[in-house]
Parts: sequence; structure tokens; C-alpha cells
Amino acid sequence: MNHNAGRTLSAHSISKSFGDVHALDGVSIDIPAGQSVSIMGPSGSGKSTLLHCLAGILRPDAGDVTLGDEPVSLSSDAARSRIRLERMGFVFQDGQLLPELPAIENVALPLLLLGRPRAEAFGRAADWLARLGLGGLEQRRPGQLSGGQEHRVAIARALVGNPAVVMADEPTGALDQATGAEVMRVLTAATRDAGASLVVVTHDTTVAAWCERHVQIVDGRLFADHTVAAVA
Amino acid sequence: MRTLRLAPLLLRGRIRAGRGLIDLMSVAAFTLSGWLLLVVAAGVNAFYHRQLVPPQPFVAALGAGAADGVSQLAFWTILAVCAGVLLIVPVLTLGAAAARMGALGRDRRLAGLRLLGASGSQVVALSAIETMLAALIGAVLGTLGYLVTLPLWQGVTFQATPLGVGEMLLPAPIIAGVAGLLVVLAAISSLSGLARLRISPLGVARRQPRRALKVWRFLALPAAVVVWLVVAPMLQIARELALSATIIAVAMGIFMGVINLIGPWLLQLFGVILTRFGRPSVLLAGRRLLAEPRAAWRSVSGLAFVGFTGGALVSLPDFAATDPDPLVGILAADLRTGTYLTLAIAFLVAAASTLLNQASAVLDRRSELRQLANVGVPVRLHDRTRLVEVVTPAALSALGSGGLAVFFFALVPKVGSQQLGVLPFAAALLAGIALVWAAGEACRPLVRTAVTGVGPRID
Repeated sequence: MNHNAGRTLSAHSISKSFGDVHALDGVSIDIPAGQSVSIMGPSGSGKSTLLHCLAGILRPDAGDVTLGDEPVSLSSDAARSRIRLERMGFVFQDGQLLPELPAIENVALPLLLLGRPRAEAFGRAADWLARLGLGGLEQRRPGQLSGGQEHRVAIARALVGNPAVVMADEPTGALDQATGAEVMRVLTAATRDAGASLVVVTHDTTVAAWCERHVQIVDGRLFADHTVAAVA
Repeated sequence: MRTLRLAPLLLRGRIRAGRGLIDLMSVAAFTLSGWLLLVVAAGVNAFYHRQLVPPQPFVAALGAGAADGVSQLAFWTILAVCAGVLLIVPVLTLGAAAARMGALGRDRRLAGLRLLGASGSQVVALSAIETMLAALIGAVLGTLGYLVTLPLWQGVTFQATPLGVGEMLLPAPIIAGVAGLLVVLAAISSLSGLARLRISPLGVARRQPRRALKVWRFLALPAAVVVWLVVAPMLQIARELALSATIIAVAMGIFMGVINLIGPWLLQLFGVILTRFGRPSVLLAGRRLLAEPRAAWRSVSGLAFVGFTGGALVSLPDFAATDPDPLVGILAADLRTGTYLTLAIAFLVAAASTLLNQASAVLDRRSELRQLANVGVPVRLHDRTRLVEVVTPAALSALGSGGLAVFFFALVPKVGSQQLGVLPFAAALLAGIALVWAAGEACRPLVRTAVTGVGPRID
């Protein structure tokens, strides 16, 4: 059961600058539980900065971010790390898996960090790997898996803790088109089945098409926001 | 020739790109290696010269037995060579670690050069040139350090005679030879490190992970026990002090070889055990030990020497306590001084190797550390992992080899008191482990910089 389900991720008038560069300028957005959202925009538009602020990786200069009734942006660095570990899952373009650990240990790691018993953590990790079609590959290390398989391990790791939100930053950037589509199919289906929201930052319209809501960021501002039927 | 012209250009780019810290640490390690190599060589050279020209205070201290004492001077040279041989391996290993660290971060640039059309041999040559340059700078600085610290050796007494500046000063050709050795070693290490990488124009990929170490390594231990069971009783027969001590020195050399053979395998076994735990830091440390047991062993092999020597001295009798001969008294005192000196050097090398390997690992994993922080992994996980990763091999090698020595030398018939008490031995081991731990902890700020220092892209 997903105890994190039902939480809305909200940003209220958040702004963020890096020196003279205004990456975000008063952006507000609500992402209801279970919704999949793509954040698109040209290079340098601030879409990754928005994702990092929503995830609590960056603290906005102004405005605040909440997950349900939990303040994300106002917490300390340690508290924000804890929120990410307990309530969020992440899928990045690369460098996301620990090369020394076999697939099952990579997936079990968030649960072990939360203090769950080893047997429970490994059992749930094995379940998720099997669900994502990686049964039998539990002991393979990242270097011994294909790009698509590595991404599926990352998706399993993102979902194993039953997060409220899964954040994906250019999740298919390093993959060919067919593998990218397969990864997006698995990511959106698994996230929906887990009752979690999905936030995808991408510059690729075919990737964005897998989401039901599309947000456009231009020059750090929300330019467009519309909901359509997703691919699947 | 074209490669030589490219090298300074790329070196300047590397400095501008902020890779200076890595290069600085690499040069510092080469400096320490160079300095220690020269000190070890100078020590052996000093004893050899004393064998040819016996020091006056030594002759005076022996009085009527001077002729006999002078005839035994070769034994000190043998001991110095033994200590030198045992120390040279960890010192050269430190140099090799420095070379590997120097090669860090070149991967992407080397792939870029291949994309531009540079041949595989050209990029390998470029990397070797850069490493050799760092080694050369380190060798020069190490030589300067060696020359500047020469007067300090006057505080150390062997054969009832303080070591003189002139005695510890090596002839210029030998100094040049040692510096050359360091540079050549650096080139070899750099090339062997690159042999594990496949540098294609599209990037750098690691070759297949190393194969697991086989259990046959452990068979060296029972083989050594059998040999020792034959040799140990001979010590009772060999009343001659020099002969007994020579057999012990040779035996120690053999056992060090055995320890070096089984050490990495034991670390691998320990890694397997650690992966059975549910604590993430222990699990991760276990996996890292499993991935590179040889590298983990290399950084603490000096401590194994510390452990074994200490263990042997705990078990061996104090010759001077039972023999009124002043020669025996001088030898016993020199054994203690020599042991403490070699222990100190071994500690220094183990700590420097640990610092270098850990710093290398942090810099190598910067992107991974950053990503883990992004997904909410607390930075203290890395501190705890490092603690297990650093202290476990150090404790295992020092205590394991110490225990092995006590076990083996328990077979030697004991007379009178011991050369070294249990307390000084235990203190030496703990000091060594603590020093290695401190060296690992020195990387703490580096981890924090790696986690927080890389800003997100403004996108």
C-alpha cells in the first residue's frame, strides 16, 4: 500500500537566480496525486531548475514548495534529503546506479537507507525487478546490463519506496528512440500503477506525449499548461 | 614528436580546467615516494660503508671483542637490506597509486582526442608523458626534502654511532638513479592503468571487471606452516646469533610474501561477508572491497608488515637479557631502533596510500555522489562507508598478520624476556590503524565539496 499516495505537489510563486541569471521567475504549479506532467522548454529555459526546486534539491530564493501539507523548500538540507528519500523517486539520464552494486542491491538501497530489514528490502526489490521484466537479472551489475535495462532498474529503484512523486530528468536522453519509448511506457505505467505522480523534464515531444499534462517553460516563466490524453 | 608538442598544450588546459588539485596530490605522493626511496637507499648504503670502514664508537664500545664485532658488521647490512626490501614494495606502490591518480579525469579528454583523429598509441603516450612529468617534479621535490632533512638523521643511533650527514648522503648517480626509477615506475603504472580502459572516439569504457581471486592463494598459508615446522627447530640448533637472526629475517621475508598472497583473497572473503549485512554503509563497503580487493590490499600492505614485525618481536626473546656480550646488547638496541624506524615509514606510507586512494575514489565518483545526494542519500552514508572501507582492511591486515606472527614465532624456543612488550606492540598496531583512519577522514571535506560543489545546470 502506498502511504504516500494522495499528496499534491505544489509550487507557489517560486523564483531562483544563479548570479545574474534568473532561472525561474514566479512559477506556480499544482501537481495532483497520480498525474503525469511533462515540463518542456528550450535549453536554458529553467525546466531543470523547476524540477530541482520541486524536489528540494535546490531551495528557491522566493516562494515555497509543499508536498501535501509538508513544506519541502523551507526545510533544512537534511530534512529535504529525508523527504526525497521517503516521498520521492528519481530517474536521471545517466550516472544513477551505483556501479559496484548488483541490480537488486541498487533497487533495495533506498529501503535499506530508511532502515527497513534486509529481507523485506530485498524481497520488495526483487518484486519490482520482476514487475519491470528484469527477473533473473538481479545479480547483474550496471555495466553488465543494456541501457534500457539500466533505466528499468532505475525506475524500480525510484518506485520501490512507494513515493508520492517520481521525478525524471531527461530520462531517455541517452537512449535510442525505440528503447526510449519502451522506458517511457514502463515508467508511466509503473508510476500510474503505484499511484504516484510523475514529473518529466524533457525537450523531446515524443517523450512528453507519454504524459497527460504538458507544461511549457520559457525564460523562467510558465508559458503554457494544458492537459491532453496521454499515449497510453 | 607531434605527441610531445601536444603535451604542454594539454597540460596547460588541464591546469586551467581546475584539475590542479588532483595533480597536486599526485605530485605530493611522488614527492613522498621519492623521499622515502632515497632514505631507504641511503640507510642501506650507510650500513654497507660501515661494514667497510667500522665506526670508531662501535669499535671502542666492544673493547677486546672489537675484532669479532667488526666481522659481524655484514649482518647489519643484511638486516638493512631486508628492511629496505620490505619497505620498498609499499613505497613503490604509493608511487603507482600516484600515477593512477594522475591519470584520473583524463578519460573523456582522451576520447575527445581519439575523435579528432589521434591514434590509440598517441593518447596513451600523452597520458604517460603527463604522469612522468608529475613523477619527475615529485622526484626533484623528494630529493630536495631528502637533502634538507639529512641533518635530522644525526639523532638516530646505530652501532653505538649516530648516523652522520655524510653517511646518509648518497652519491649523485644513485640519487639520479632513484629519481629515474620513480619516473619509469610512474610510466609503467600509467600504462597499466590505461590498459584497463578501452579508449574509443565515442568514449572510454572500462574493460570487463577483474576476475575474483581464487582460493588457491589461501593454500600458501598451510604450505608456509609446513616449511616453518621444518625450519623452526633449526633455530634451537643455530646458537650463532647471526645465523639465527638471518634465518628469522629470511623467514619473515617468506611470510610477508605469503601474507601478500593471501591478504587480497582474505579481503575479498571479508567483502562477501560484509555484503550479507543490511546496513547500507557496510553493504556498500563490502561491494567496494569485492570490486577491488587487490587495490584495497595495496594501500594497507605496509600495515601488514607492521603487524608481522611487531608480532615477531613480541614472540622473540631479548638476546641482550641473557648474553653479557656488548655486541649482543648493541644488536638488540639496533633491532628495536630499526624496527621503530621501519614501522614509522610503513605507517606513513599506509596513511599516504589511503589518503590518495580515497581522494582518487571521491574525485572519480563525483558525479555519482552528486546524483545520490539528489535522490536524498544522506552524505553521512559516504562517511560511514569510508570508515568501514578503510578501517576494515587496515585492522584485518595489521591484526591478522600480527596474530600470524605470534602463532609462527611461538614455535621458536624462548629464552628470557621479550624483545618488544605486548603493550608497545598493541599501541603500534592501534596507532597505525588510527593513522589510516585519520587519512581516510581527511577526505571528508572532499566528499562534501563533491556533493555540493557541482551546481545544477541552469536549464
